Amino acid sequence: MKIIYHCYGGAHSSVTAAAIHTGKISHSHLPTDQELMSVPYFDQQEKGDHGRLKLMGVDEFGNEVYVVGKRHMGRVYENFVRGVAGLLGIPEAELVLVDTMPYVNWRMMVGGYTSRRLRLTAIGRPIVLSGTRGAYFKLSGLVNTVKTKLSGR
Amino acid sequence: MIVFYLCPSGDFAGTICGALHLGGLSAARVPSHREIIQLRRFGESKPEDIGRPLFLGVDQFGNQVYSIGVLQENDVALRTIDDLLRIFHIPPHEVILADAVPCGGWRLKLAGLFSGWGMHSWAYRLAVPSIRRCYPALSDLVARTVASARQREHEPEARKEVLYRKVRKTSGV
Repeated sequence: MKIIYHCYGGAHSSVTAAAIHTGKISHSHLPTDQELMSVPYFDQQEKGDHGRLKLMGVDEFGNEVYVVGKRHMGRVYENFVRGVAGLLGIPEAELVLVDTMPYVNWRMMVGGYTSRRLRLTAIGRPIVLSGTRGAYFKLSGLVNTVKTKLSGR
Repeated sequence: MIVFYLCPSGDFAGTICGALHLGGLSAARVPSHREIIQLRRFGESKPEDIGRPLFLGVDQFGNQVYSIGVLQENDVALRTIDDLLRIFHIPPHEVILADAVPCGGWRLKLAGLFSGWGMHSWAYRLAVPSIRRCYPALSDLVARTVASARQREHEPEARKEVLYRKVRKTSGV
């Protein structure tokens, strides 16, 4: 099974959730800025990466976990991926899509935009790190819900 | 094989391309306002349907032809399809991707946005004249897509990238 966490840029909320899911960072302890920065793809993706499914790792159930930035596609993205996957003959049960956008706070938006879009990393990165720490346990809760559902399958 | 026409809302430029591809419209002349609005599935999508493939028919080569709405994010959509093929080990020659988003110009993009917001009357008012204006570009895209489908009848291993790169270089209006 492939699990795809998706958000606007595929650089912060989806990456953090996928890192929790794959055990790269603890689900129960608030990570430090250094720990977040050590997560692959965190605050790294560029415009040309959007839409690319980036492998974050494999979870304890053997599922591959991916992150992707969907830019302005919003809810359209899930329709799109499920629709295309269905036509390509990919079984519905083989694909789990998880939207992390509802857990993105204003600091992640402002910091992420400043760091990734404006390329003002020195200003944006501390803001987005603070925002990610602020949203951390909500993202951890989301991952927990996903894993609970997966274990019931 | 599956042919996808990507357009902002899925039910404007994509349905025109589908009609051209399947013989419902002629490339030789620009269709009238009435011919456009009478096309099957034209302007029918609800906002919640955008992103879902719209089946338009089966072409002369036996390929299924779909239109799919991707808003303005054609690049994102193309990369995701590429990666879905890669991670699920699906041969790329099973798919033809034809990107109609750059063909339409800003009016059609705006129509797609209005459609996405549920403002259908505004979307219609913008979409029909825009489609008539960009009809040559849409016809060109479809001609290249059909040529690619024909080529793949003989060379099934032809890589899909060829099609949309060629199309996107020449289709701007």
